[in-house]
Formats: sequence, structure tokens, C-alpha cells
Amino acid sequence: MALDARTVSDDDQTKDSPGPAAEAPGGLWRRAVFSTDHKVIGRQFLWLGLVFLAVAGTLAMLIRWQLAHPGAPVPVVGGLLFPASGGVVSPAAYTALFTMHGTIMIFFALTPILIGGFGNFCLPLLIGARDMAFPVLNMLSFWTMFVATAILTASFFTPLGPPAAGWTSYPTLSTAVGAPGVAQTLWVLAIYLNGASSVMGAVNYITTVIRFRAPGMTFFRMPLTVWGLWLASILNALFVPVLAAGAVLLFFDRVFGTRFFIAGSAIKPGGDPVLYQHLFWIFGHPEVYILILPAWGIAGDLLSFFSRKPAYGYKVTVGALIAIVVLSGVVYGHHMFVTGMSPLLGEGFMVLTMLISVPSVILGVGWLGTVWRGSIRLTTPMLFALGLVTVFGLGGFTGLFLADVLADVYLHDTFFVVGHFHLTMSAAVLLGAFAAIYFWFPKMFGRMMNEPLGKLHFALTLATVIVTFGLQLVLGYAGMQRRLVDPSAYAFLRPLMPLNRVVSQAAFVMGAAQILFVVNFFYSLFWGPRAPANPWQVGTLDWTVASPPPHHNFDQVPRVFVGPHELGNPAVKAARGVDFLPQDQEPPT
Amino acid sequence: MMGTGTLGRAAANDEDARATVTVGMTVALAAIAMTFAGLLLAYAIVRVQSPAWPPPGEVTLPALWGLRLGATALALAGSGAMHAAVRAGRALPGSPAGVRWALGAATAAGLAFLALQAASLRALGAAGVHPASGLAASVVYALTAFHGLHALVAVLLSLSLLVARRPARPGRLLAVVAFWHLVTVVWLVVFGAVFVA
Repeated sequence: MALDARTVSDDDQTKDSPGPAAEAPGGLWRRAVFSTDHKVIGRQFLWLGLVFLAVAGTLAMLIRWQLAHPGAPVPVVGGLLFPASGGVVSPAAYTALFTMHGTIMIFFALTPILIGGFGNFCLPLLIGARDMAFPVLNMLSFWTMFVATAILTASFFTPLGPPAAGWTSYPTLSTAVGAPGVAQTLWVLAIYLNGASSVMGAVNYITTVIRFRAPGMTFFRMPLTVWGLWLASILNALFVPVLAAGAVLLFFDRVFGTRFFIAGSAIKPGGDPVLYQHLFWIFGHPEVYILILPAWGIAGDLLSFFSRKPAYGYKVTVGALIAIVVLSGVVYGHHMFVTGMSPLLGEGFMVLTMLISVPSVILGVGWLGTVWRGSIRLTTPMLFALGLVTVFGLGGFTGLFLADVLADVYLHDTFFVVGHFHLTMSAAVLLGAFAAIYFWFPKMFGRMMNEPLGKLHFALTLATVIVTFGLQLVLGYAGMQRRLVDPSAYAFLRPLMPLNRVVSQAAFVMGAAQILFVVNFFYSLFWGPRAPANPWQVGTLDWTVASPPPHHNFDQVPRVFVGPHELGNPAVKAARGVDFLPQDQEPPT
Repeated sequence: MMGTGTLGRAAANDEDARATVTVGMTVALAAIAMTFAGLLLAYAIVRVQSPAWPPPGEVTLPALWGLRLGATALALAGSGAMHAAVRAGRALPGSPAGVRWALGAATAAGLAFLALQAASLRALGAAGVHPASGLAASVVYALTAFHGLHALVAVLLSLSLLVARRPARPGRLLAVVAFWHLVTVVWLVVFGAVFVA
């Protein structure tokens, strides 16, 4: 039963044991499919997320082909994917492509990889627990997500085609009037179940951190990764349900004919399409931070680990993260500046949005201070963490333009917005996900990934991310709208076509570079060198156990004496011969 | 540790499990409450935007006071019974029969609540008011149905405790009771905001 919590001391250990020994592994079915082990569930989320990352990435390639070569048949797979139009991406298909690309990337790829995958795998290990607080609920969380992905996948194959109302699915386009057929209803169901899965995860993460930290693991000794995941979970628990409310009302409108989002007319009373936008963005803006907070946390830890220095201003960084979480809940209106909002309200949202830049800059200063004069080891995870900081910096600065009401009125619905949010909540999060994969792959699978191949993957990815999304900012600033199937149809946009082709070529190289990652991932999975327990020479609790960890995580529940970033201490070096101190070791006197 | 030996350890375990469930259930209830907050916010927005309620041109909804006041009384009675189950569970010496009696009463009250809610929707349909009849009808149908789904879950949870062969593990009864109370409180808010205001 999901509500049966693990107890703090119901094994034969001491009172301060943060969890019992997980039950002995059963048959294959229980061990690998319906497992309640957080590590297995983490891997399941990772696999699911990677598969859908590939799907969403492929859709992006089709979008970019159309924008670079409007009206030309898609090479190789065009005839198979778009037989009715001779391999050409039709306007309807294009709309479906960007809808499903955005939906899958945000809800079914990045969320499962970082929060579902690494949240599940790392969180108990990092705080010294043997499992999540509610292991059965954890398993249900994954399988609810799985059902959601199955429903979303089914929507591709409906008679009237896939959902095509954008990843935001604004009414009236998403109502039964604008999107007849079952596909959009399946989209709503999939999003609702996806949200239910996220909330189940949030209940577990929040409770586990509060209740199952190992003795001595105070809040300010937690790795920043845990802070990021924990704060993201709080946002998940509070704001995903508001999206669920929007989804419920949209479902009622579509299936039962209620009129929440269908505007009234002179002869028939009705609701308000903008109402949905409120519900969507009350969730939607915190969602940006739900995605980026774990990545920020991971970056904060990795920058410290590979600079061989404690994180600069750890407590201030945590304070900044908390401030961002609080502010993220009160700024959603900046997504709706062009909906006829009162100027006073718009000003309020603008000021609050601008305020977020203060704690964001504090984070940046912390990261720079951490690497400043460090003994930097440019491993692949470190490179991706540095890439994340770079790309998020670019995206964050462009957010200032969009936070300003007057600038936003011009830039809204242009490619400037596309470039901005891809840099912040897509590319930065993706780079964070890659940093996490390269860093924890040895712990997850017991083998090392290939470093030279990883570095090549990083170089190609970072360069193409900056070119692709950076030039999208330029395109938007020049006036190119979003969701435009054929920019060349407009005389004033024709001069931008060469730039569009450069963006697409960079995107294609980015897509091709991911083949390096796939090769590296699978080759390393089977033939990579065996990973030692602590290949990166760091002190967090996850690296104090074998790679991969045993079923019960810790033979003895650890007692924590120091913070997560005890690196570069001369006294430790003198006493231990290495430059790091594991969290479960007492510092030398 | 609370004492020594198996008995003391079991008591400590019960306390730990209860504390863990309390944290988890608080988060879960906050999330569910936020869903209803979102729905009520939507209702508030459409109502404030409308020059009158029901909006001009829409059919007037039958009040159905008998059914709705009856449902409200049953919701309160169900929560009261669940509260009694907790008190019986905490009594020394323990009173398993008292717990079962209270759970049975709560389940019956919950089922009767659902029956009255279904009857109110049928009565609306019989009066020619359907979900597509307008905004006011949309609000009544959507909130009643979505809340009813949660009430059904509450009934199923209490039923599962009632038919279980073994007593509930530590904290589970407390969690189910908390969910029951949330469902009751949400109904009181919906009743006040949609049917009284």
C-alpha cells in the first residue's frame, strides 16, 4: 500500500537509522519491472526519458527542415512520415510537430531524466537513506508516467492526426471546436497523468528529505543537488495541481460540453479562453524552475567537485535558490502581457520578474567564485556543468527583455521567445542532464563512460546549441514569428531565410552529435572499464558505496560529519593523502 | 529509544511511521487542495467577469436545497465517524470493534453522500440543465463531479480499511482520515461558494 511508510528504525539497527534494509530482491518481474527500489525506478525513468528525448529531438529536426527548406520533401523519411503530401511537411503536420516536440521535451523527456531518473537514483544515496519514504508510491509514480507516455504515443495514431494546439494547448484551439477528434483529449489525459506522477514523486522526495536524512546530515550539509531536487519538488507539489485543474476543465469542455474556455457570443453565453492561460501559467512559470533547479543543484556540486574547492557561498546559494522558488510563484503574468492585462498589473509582474535576476546573479557569482582559482579538472561532467552555466547565462540575460512589458509586446510570439526559452529551460537543462549522466553513469551502471568521446560530444553540442538558439534570438528580434510554417511566404521575412538555414544546419549537427552520446552510452554500458567506488574522488555519500550500490545502499547507515564539498583542505591532504574528505569521515583534528 | 526489547522498538517504529506518513500526507493534501484551488479560482474569475450570476441568457438552476443540504450533512457525518475511528484506535485498551463500527458508519455516510450528489445531477438533467447549458451549469457539473470522484476515493479507502483482515499499519488510518477531512472541507467550500453565495 502506498501509504505504508518505511519506518526510521524498524530494522535491527540503531534508532537513528534512516531506513530499513530494503527487502531481498525477488524474481525478475519484481526486481526489474515492478521494483520498489529507488535505484531501479531511477533507471526506468532515465530510459523512458532518453527514448522520448530521441523522439522529441527527431521532431525538432523535422521542424528545422521545414523552416530551412519550406515546401521541399523531407529527405529519406519524408515519404514514410507524410505520404499524403508527398513527403512535404504540411501546415497541419508542422503544427502537430511543434506541439508534440514541446510537449514531449518538457513533460516526457527532461522531467523524467532529471527529476524522475536522477532524483530517484541519487536522492536517497546522497542523504544516506536506504530508499524513498514511500517505495510503493514511488513505483506507482513511474508506472503512472508510463501510462501517460502510452496515451500520448497513442495520440500520434488517431484518425485526425496528433494533437496540434501547441505545448501550451491554449483554447480555443484546444477545445472541441478548434481541435476535433480524440487526439487532443488524449493529450489532456496524458498531461493529467504526467502531473499525477510528478506529484507522487514530489510527496516522496519532500518526505524523504525531511524524514530520512542520515544522522548528522543537517540541511546545510546536504549536497546542492538535493537542495535543487527538494525545492523543485515543493514547486511540483504546489503548482502542477493548478495545471491539473486547467486540464480537468479542458477535459470537461471537450468531453461533456461545458463552456469554461469557449467564449460567449451574442446568442450563446460562454466562458473565457484567457482563463485557461491563467491556470496554465500559474503552473507554467514555476515549471521553468522545476526543470532548472535540479540542473542548478547538480552544476553547483560538480563545479565544486571538479574545481577541488568548496562551493563558494554555499549558504547564500541555498538562500538564492529559496528566493527564486518563492518569486517563481508570483511572476506568471509576464507570460500574458499581451492579453490585455491592466497596465498596473503588468508593471507589478514586470518588477517581480526583474527581481528574480537578483538571486539568479547571486547563483552565478557563487558558481564563478567556486571555479575561481580552483584546481580545475576538465572532465566531461565538469564541461557540461560549465556549459550549463554559460548557456543559462545567455538565456537568463535575454529573459530581461521579455520581462519588460514594452519590449515583450514587440518580441512576444517571435523567435526571440523561442531562442530564450530553449536556452534557459531546454538547452541548459539538457546540458545539466548530460552532466548528470556522465557523472553518475559509473554509479548507476558500474562502468565508466569514454572521456574523449564525451568531450567531443560536449564541444559539438555546446557550439551548436549557442549557434542554433542564439541565432533564433536574432531571427525573433528581426521580426520572425513563432509557429510559422513557411517564413518565405512573407516578403519581409525572405531576407531571413539564409539565417534560418544556418540555424537548421547547426541543429542538424547538434542532432548528429547526439549519436556520439548514444554510441558512448551503449558501448560503455557493456564494454566500458569497470568503475571503482569513487572514480571522481569526491566526498558525498553516494560515492562511499560500491558502483553500482548494493540493494540496501549502505551496509551501515552513515553518520555525517562534514558538508558535501570538503575539498582542497591541506589538513585533510596531510592526514589522508587525498584532497577530499568523505561526508561520513570525521575531519582531522 | 522508547524502552528496550521488541515492544519498545515497535512503539518507536509506530511513532516514526506515523510521523513519516504525516509529512507525506500533508504534502499530498496540499497538492490536492491546490487542484481544487485552481478550479475555484477559475470559478471566481468567470463569476467576477459576469455581470450577473447565472450570466444573462442562461437558464436559472434549480436550487435542490434538500439534496445539497442532505449531502453536506452526510459529508460532515462521514468526517465525524472517521474522527471517531481515530479516537477508538487510540483508546487504551484498543478498541478494534469501535474502529470497525466507525469505519462502517463513515463508509455508509460516504456512499449516501455520493448517491445524493448523483441524484442532484440527475435532477438538474431532468430540469433541462446540462453541462453545455451555460457557464453556471458548467461550474456545478464540473465541481460536483470532480469532487465526487475524490469522495469516491475516500469511500474506497475507508472500505479497504474496513475489510482488511489485519489492523492498518501505523499511520494509514490517520492518512485516510486526513483525506476524508479534506474532501469534507472542500465540499463545504464548494457548497458555500457555488450554491450559497
